[in-house]
Parts: sequence; structure tokens; C-alpha cells
Amino acid sequence: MRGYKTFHRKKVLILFLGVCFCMLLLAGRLVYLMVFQSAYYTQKALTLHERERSIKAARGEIWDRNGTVLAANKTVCTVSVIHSQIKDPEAVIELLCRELSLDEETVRKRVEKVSSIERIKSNVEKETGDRIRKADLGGVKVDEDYKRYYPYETLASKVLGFTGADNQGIIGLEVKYDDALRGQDGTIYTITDARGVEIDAQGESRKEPVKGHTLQLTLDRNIQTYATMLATQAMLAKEAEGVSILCMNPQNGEIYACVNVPEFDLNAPYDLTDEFISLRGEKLTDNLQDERNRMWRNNCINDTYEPGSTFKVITAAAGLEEGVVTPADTFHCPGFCVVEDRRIRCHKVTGHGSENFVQATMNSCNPVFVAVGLRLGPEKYYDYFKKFGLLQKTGVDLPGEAGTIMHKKEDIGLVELATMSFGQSFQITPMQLLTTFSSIINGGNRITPHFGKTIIDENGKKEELQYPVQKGIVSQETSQTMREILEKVVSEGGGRNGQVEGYEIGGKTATSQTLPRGTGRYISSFIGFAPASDPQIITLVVIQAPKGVYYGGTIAAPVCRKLYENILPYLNIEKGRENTERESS
Amino acid sequence: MQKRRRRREKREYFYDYTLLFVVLFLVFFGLIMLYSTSSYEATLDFGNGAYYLRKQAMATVLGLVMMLFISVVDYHVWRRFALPAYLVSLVLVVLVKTPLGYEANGARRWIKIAGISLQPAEVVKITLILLLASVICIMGKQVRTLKGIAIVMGAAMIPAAMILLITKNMSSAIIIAGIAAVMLFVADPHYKRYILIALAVVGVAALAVLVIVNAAKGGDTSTGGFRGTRILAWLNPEAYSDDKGFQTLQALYAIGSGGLWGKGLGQSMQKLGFLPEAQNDMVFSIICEELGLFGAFCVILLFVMLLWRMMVIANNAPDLFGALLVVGVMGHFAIQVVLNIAVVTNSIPNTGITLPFISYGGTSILFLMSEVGLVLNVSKSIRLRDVG
Repeated sequence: MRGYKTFHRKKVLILFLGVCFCMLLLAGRLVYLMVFQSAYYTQKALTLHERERSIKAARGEIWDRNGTVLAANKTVCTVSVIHSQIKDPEAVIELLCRELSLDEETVRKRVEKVSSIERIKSNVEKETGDRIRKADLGGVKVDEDYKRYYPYETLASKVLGFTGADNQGIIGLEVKYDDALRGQDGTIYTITDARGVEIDAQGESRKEPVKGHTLQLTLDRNIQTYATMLATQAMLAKEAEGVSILCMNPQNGEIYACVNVPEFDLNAPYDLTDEFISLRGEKLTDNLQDERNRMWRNNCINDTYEPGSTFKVITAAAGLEEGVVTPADTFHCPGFCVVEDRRIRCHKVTGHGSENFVQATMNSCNPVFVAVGLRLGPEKYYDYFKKFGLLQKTGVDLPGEAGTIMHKKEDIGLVELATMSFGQSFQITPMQLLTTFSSIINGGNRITPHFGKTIIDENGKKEELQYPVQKGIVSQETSQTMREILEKVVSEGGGRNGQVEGYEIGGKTATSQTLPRGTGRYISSFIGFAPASDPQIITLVVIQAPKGVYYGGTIAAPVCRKLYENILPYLNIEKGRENTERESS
Repeated sequence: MQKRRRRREKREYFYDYTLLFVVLFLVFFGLIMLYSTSSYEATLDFGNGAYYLRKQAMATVLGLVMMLFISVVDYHVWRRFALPAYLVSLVLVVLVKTPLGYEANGARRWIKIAGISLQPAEVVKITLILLLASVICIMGKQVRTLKGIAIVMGAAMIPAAMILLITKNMSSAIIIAGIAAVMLFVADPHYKRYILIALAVVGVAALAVLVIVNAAKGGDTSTGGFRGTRILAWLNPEAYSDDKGFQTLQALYAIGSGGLWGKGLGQSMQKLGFLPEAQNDMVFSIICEELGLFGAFCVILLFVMLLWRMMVIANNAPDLFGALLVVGVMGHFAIQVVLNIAVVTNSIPNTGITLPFISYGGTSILFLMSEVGLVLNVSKSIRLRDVG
């Protein structure tokens, strides 16, 4: 062997072993990457290869208390194109133009745009979507989707609310119960190459969407429908700006009807209704969104007003509870009273003369209630106001409830106290009035008014919704006395027009001025409940700015009567035991 | 093993069939993997899934012919052509700058003569091995002196510098310098100087990395420049995932998602347009993805076997010239395999080095096969009675 020596061999061996050592290190690195880091990189790679398409979950339905569907879903389609999968662009453009009645330019721009997925049109009718799918052109995707649908269109529009493009609640119960109704969107995962082309062999995996829960309401479609009809009639007859009817179970706060006419069409919530436009008249502004918000307002909850004489019930309850007045106490009404330097008139200018407290309530006599208020004094009166829950919101399950507008405690002088006694100089919502009224006549339980009754999940499991009740607002005795007095108001007093043949009804009328005063605009209202001895239903009718006769007892009470004539039998409310009842009082 | 063969065959000369089989296996395995890796892009770009396979197969056939031809011609014949071949290869490198040169994948590294494209850097590797083997034999003991070392390294540095400057191909320059260093290390009985040089190289590299990282921390990215970002992307590929770290990160996704047994041949996802140059420098990561850790180990083992056979042949070569030829080839293969796998696994900064026999590249396969032909011829000249 020429020239090749042992040291050469040794060096070659060292070289080889050195290479082996490097290989071992690299093998170690591979083990680290492919065993210990494998899960990490596999996940990363999967995220890279996976394209997600979401499947919308069906929104939960809204039912009335009897299971009638008030809000449902209908299937609509979203048509999109996937640029990289289009084989015959001209055919695709032609088909989409024809089926979706879009102009060619718009479609061509979207079809020819290089993007992973381009939406052509959403909310396409299912039949149209099916036809497009049947044409079976490469690169055209038709995804089914849900759109909210309200079968009764305008019924309880301001209560139910509606949803937006992504099926999220915009106003009303749709917002309040959005979490329960929404459900969970599903996802389709497809594996694609770097250009976004799906790899068929890999198939697709799905995470199924979970349908939203069904919300069962306390609303009764029949009562709501009938009340809406009556409210509309009253509005037309009195050329009023609006009529609200609130109908509730005073024992537990379940709301049977909440009407605010004019309502709007839930299936086209963004279009101002003709009624709304004509009512707004010259006041209609160019700010479309402002006008929509105005149209969507739920006056029973979002707006406050001076309750007027209906509030005398609260003053009476406070007076009786505190013991500063008894039903038998006698008063004298000269047609006015003087508080400090103010002369406060009674609505009967000639005065009611001598009357006891029950008669004063039947007459809705202002000076008597001013006297009761003054007997209580500002501090006590304010305390009762607070105790009755008037300073806090009712907690009704609708968004945007307005709070009470009230004097500060230290600002209540005798004049303020006097006006408050008959329901002026402060503002509350109709819902607040009805709730407080209920707690006075139901034995002293301040209930939470509510619409949501039960949430039913996809397996049919029911969850009854619970609402707080505050007990002992007034004593049982006071409550009993109030029921008796208010029954007399309807049977013999100012609420006579609220009487229903064969039923014992309790109630109170009110006629209040709209603010600012002196415009000659009034709000007429009536609260009626039945049966008077054991109230099962309570109704508040509020007529905004009626033309002509505006007395609550004359125009609001008959609305309640008509309603009760139909729904009392419907609700199986017992007919009166007038005779026995009369004796006990 | 040799003893057994001697008893059985009664042949006077040895022929390394093991090496031949390992090489053939690697070549065919390489073609399969190349097809698997490239068919997606080939279909997209050329409408023919076998486009790259066909070109590579043609180069492989040509390579096999070259290998067989060289393996039957006594290697001492080439000694006469060592210097002219070396000079011609240098000229070829310069030709890249002339109109004969052309650009592909954003780099001007190829020339085209009479319709055949060629990467001069690949030619230089084999001519350098030939030249250095001759020069070392002529120098004899002088190779141990500083002058000898200077001559050997000088002969390598000229083409390395040319390739670096003309074709901006640092990886080929490193390989060429590495081949010379390996041959010098074997030819020279000293150890200390090589250990010192190795330590110095590692030290300088570490220092460079430190400087670049500090510069980047100071917010100064301009000094780092092209290679600076490569270093930073190496240290944290996810932070540079849009830029220099992109390919590395995609390779890591491929490797990591392979797991123990891989997704199965042809099942790679990363080759579907995610991993750039999947059929070139990054083919090993697709092997990992499709065949798993198991497949990757098999490939590494095949290369180790290849190098082992070369060591046996070198150590039994009839003369120093033959031994040095084999050592040169061995160094060339070893450097490319180790660096390629190191790059793919992000063990070192990203630099474009192909995996011998498997990565796509006609010139590369042709000259790799020729080098194997040389080694086979050296093995053939081993007289069995000399084998001890």
C-alpha cells in the first residue's frame, strides 16, 4: 500500500465517528420534534390546513303561556362563491343574475374577485337556494341559514323585540333573553391546500350547532290580541297619540298583555309604519334612526308620566297603614284647599261638601288627599314612597326600564307634598304604578312584573324563572280595606264605567295633564282589578292625549270594561258574591 | 464479511455490492419521495404530476450510466485530468455571469449549454476532490507543513469564493471548503491544529450570532441584513413566520405532524403548497411527515451505512490517491446530509443545501452518481489478499 498509513485510517475512522455523532444529535432532535413536540406542531398544522365555516344555530322560539309560537325561525339561504373552485365563471354569473335578480356588474365583480370566499347574497328564499344548488355549478356554495320570523307580525312588537342580521336581539325580550335564545353556532371544518381548495379525500368534520332554548312567556296571545284591538279602537275613536294596556296577575306579577299602539311590524322593524308617520306629522325628523327608536319605544316601561288620581290609592294606603285616617273619617271639601300660599283646586269647583274617606276616594277628591298627605308629613310620606318600592325600578325583564323622577327628600315642602298626594309633581312608569297598585291590593306583596315564565332547553327540560317578592309592603288589613274602597269606586263612584255585569271590579280613574302643563293635552287612565275581594287580574289603560272628552272615568274605564267582559270568563274568574261582600264591608 | 466472500467467490478483486445496493436503494427511494412531494405542484404548474419525476429520472439514468462507466475505468486515469478539469469547472462558474447563465427561483446559479442545464457548483465539488487528491499525493509529507495546508485550502478557497461571489451560493461554498478541510484532516497526521481550528470556527460563529442578536435587541435590524435576519429567524422562527422563518416553520409543522409512524406515503398536507421548495431542500421534512420518525431514522441509517462502506473502502484502498478520492466523496456526502437535516430540523440557520440522491436536482444527481462510480472503482481495485 503506497503512501497510505495507519494514521490515515485512524483519521478516517474519527471522521466517520464524528459524522455518526452528528447524526445521533440530529436523531435526538428529530425525536424531540416528532415525539415530544408532535402534538404542538400537529395542532399548528391542522389550524393551518383547516378552513372553518360556521353553521348558524337556530334561535330559540318564543311561545306565549299556552304554547302559541310568537317568534320562530324560517330557513333562508346564503349564496357565496369560492373563486378557486369556479370552473365556468360565465355560467355562474348568468345563473346568479337570473336567480337572485342582481345586475350583472355586481355579480361579475364578486365572482371574478380573487378571494377565498365571497358572499353574493344572504337571506335568499329557500326555494331559490334549492334551485341554485340543483344547478350544481362548481364554486357556488349555498348555505342554509335561519331568519327570525314573527307569525303575528305586530303583536306585542314592543315587548318581543326583534333580531339583527346576525340573529342577535336588538330590542325587547329578544335582547333580555338573548343568551338563552341564541344557542351555539356550529362549525364545519374542511381541510384545504394552500390555495384554499378543499381536499375531498380528507372529508369534513362538523361541530353541530346547538339550538337556542325556547322561551315561554306569561303573555297570553288571546288577551294580547283582544287588548290590542281595543287599544286601537280607543286610539282611533279619541284620535289619541297612543294607547297602552297593561294586564297582569297582581298575585305573582305575570303579565298577560302589554299593548302599546301603534305597534310596528316585527318582520320589517326598520320600516317606519304609516300610522307612526302620520302621528308624528310635522315633527318627523330626517334622522331615521331616531325615529325608529321612537317607534320602538315601549311606553309602559321606557316612559314616565304623572300618574294623577290613580296615585291617590298609594296615598290612601299610606294613610291607612300609618293610622292617620280611617274609612269612616269625615272631611269637608269646599272645592279647594290652601297649602302655604297656594290654592289647590278640586276638580269639582263647587266642592264635594261633607264626605267620609271612602266617599272622598269615590269622588277622587283632591283636598281630602292633600289633607291625608299633610297628616303624614313630608318625612313619613317619603318613607312610604320608598317602602312601597316606588324609588327603585320594578325589575321587569325588559331592557331600558325608566326610573322614577322624584323630588329629593330634603326638597319636599308642604306644597310638593300636597301635589304628590294626588299624583302630581313626580313621574313614574305605567309599569311602576301597576306594580305598586298590585302590592297594595294583593295583601302587601311587592311582586316583580315579568314576561319570562319558563325556559325550555333542547331536551325539553324546563327551567321555571324565579322572581323576587317583597312581603309586608302594607298590612293585610290595609290591603283588605283598600280593596273594599276601590270596589266602591267602581260600583258607585268615579269608576262606574269600569263595571262588568256580574263581576265585582275594583279600580281607580285618573286624568292627568301632560308635561309641560297648559297645553291642553291630557293623559286619561284607569286601573281596574277583578275579583275585587281576591284580585286575579289587574289592568291599566293609559290613553295619551285624547281629543274631546278626556276624563279617565269616561274614556279609559270603558276600555277596561270591554276587555274584562271578554277575558274574565276566558280566565275563569269567579263571578261576584256581591251581597255577602257588601255585608262584610 | 470479506473473508466469507473470499471463500465463496474465489475472486481476486473486491467489489462493494453493499455500497452499490445502498446507493441504488437511496436513488429509487428518492424518486418515489420526489414524485410524492412534487406531483401536486407539478400538476398545478405544468399540468403533469410526473413533470419533476421525469426530469429527475432522466438525470438518474444518465447518472447510472456515468457511474457504471467511471466504475470500470481505472481511477488513476483521472489523475491526469485533475488540473484541466478543475480549471474547466472554474470557467463554468464564471460562465454563470455570461448570457449562458440563467436564473431560477430568484438565484442565478445555472448555465445552459446545448439545451442541457448545469449547476457549475456541483461540477466543482468533484473536480476539487480529484485535484486535491492529486495535489496531496504529489506534496507527500509537505502537506503537513503550513505551506502544504495553504496550498490545499487555497485550491478550495478559489472556487468557494467564486461561487459565493458569483452565484451568491453560500451553502455550496461551505461544502467545498468543508471537503477540502476533511481531506486535509485525513492527509495530515496532526490533531491539535484541527481541534483548534474547529474551536475557532465554532467560537467565531457563536460570536457572530451574539452580535446579531444584540443588534436586533437594540432595535437595529439594518446591520444584520440578509443573513442577520436568517440568524434571528433561526432562533425564533415563529416571530419571523411571515418572512425568513416561514419555510423553517412550515418544515417544522411537517416534521412535527409526522409523529412516530407518519401519515403514510403520499399523505403529506404540507406539500400541498404550504412548504416552499418541498421537493428541493425541504424534502426530508416531507419524508418525516409521511413516513414518521421511523422513516426518518431509516433514511439516516441508510446514509450512515453509505458512509461506513466508504470508510471501509478508503481504509483498504491500494494507494493514498484512491483513499483520498474516497475520503473526499465521503466528506462531501457527510457534510451535505448532516447540514441538510440540520437545516430542515432548524438545528442551524436556514441555508439551501440539498439532500443527496433525494432532493430534486439533475446536475446534483449526475455528479453524485459519478462520485459513487469513483468510489466503486477504488473498491474494485482492492485486492482481496490485502484486506485484513
